[in-house]
Amino acid sequence: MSRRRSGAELGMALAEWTLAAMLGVILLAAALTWLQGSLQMALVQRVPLQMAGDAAWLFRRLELAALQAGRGGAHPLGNDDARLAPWRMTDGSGPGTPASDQLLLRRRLEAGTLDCEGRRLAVGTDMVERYFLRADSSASGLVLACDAGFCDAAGCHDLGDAGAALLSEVDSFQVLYAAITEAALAPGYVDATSWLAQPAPPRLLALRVGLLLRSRESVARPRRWSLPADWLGHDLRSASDRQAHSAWQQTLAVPHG
Amino acid sequence: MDATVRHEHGLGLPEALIALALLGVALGGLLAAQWRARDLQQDAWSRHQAGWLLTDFGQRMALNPGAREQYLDGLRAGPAGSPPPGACARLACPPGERARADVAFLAAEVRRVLSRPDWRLESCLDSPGLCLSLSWSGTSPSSGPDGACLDASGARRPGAHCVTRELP
Repeated sequence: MSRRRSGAELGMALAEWTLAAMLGVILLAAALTWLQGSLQMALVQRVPLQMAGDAAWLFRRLELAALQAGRGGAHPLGNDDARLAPWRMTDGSGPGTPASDQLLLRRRLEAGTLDCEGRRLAVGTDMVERYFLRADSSASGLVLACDAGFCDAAGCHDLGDAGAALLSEVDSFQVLYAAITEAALAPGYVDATSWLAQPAPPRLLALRVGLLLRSRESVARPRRWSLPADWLGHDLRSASDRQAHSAWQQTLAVPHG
Repeated sequence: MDATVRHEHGLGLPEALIALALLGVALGGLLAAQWRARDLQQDAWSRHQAGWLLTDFGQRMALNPGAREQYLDGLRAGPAGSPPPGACARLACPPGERARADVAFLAAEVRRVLSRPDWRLESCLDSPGLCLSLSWSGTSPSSGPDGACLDASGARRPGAHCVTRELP
């Protein structure tokens, strides 16, 4: 009777190695699937929040510009200054889907400040800021840009360039205008074409600004993104895409209109 | 002797079961944490949307000061069953109709972006004006006991899904 133990009793047989390997592969595959699912779920949750943050940041900026527009007696949209005609507000002239608008805001500075391109302007200058959509090398989609300039006795300067990109992945930028009226009606919000068709430039009561955004990141599979049926007069169909889509609008008072 | 040696080497059924149980507990914890993170992100998004809508609504209301009572009447009716906003939300129209259109727009948007939305108009607890509380996901849009938006001092209850704004 030998007391030496057999190999089967001491180590692992091929069947055991195979079973262990199979279990390992199954556990690894499950862990990887879970990790991928978690990352996708985090992405799906994070992307709308990022877009909401982007929209809030931009609207806060536009709200401050609207609150200041028209200060010092200048017309907030520059409608009374023929020198601004080449850069005036437009309706559906820009890129994007739906085609984007252009917004121009003007105010007379009561203190020195920096314009949206970072240039310092002196007291008493008429500061002009033009918001529009354009392509940019820094983004795959369109960017909302701000082109700043100023007007003095010699003319208007620094306007008409590409401006500074404020926000990327903007699909559309829409603006409607409400005039101060004497009629006993709540004012209508009209587009730039209707606004400019009026015989004399009315004073501005408020702006209604719309932003249609898409996410910078993509999720694994196309998803359905809920969009409003009526977005500043445009019929948006709910988008099914790997990039998230969101539509925003905000009414901005122009107290110095 | 051989039986003793077999017990010293390899994994028995009890050890395997304990390992599986530990693995299950760890996975359960991870799942719970993941679900909680999802809920928190969803709530952050809803809160952002709700705050956004109330801010825009306040601005619309401030720009149509002659129709304050119509705004309040529309808000008292609640978001359920509100008609579509119609063209008056954008076109020139009597102030009262604009007020109804603005309330209808708010109702349509909260139904689109929030789960089980509700709102209530009541006196602010921390200021003399009227406040609009907008809630979602089962929270009651009022001050009161558990399940409500605010406690008796006007502070938002922990975990309540709601946003409150003072109206202009």
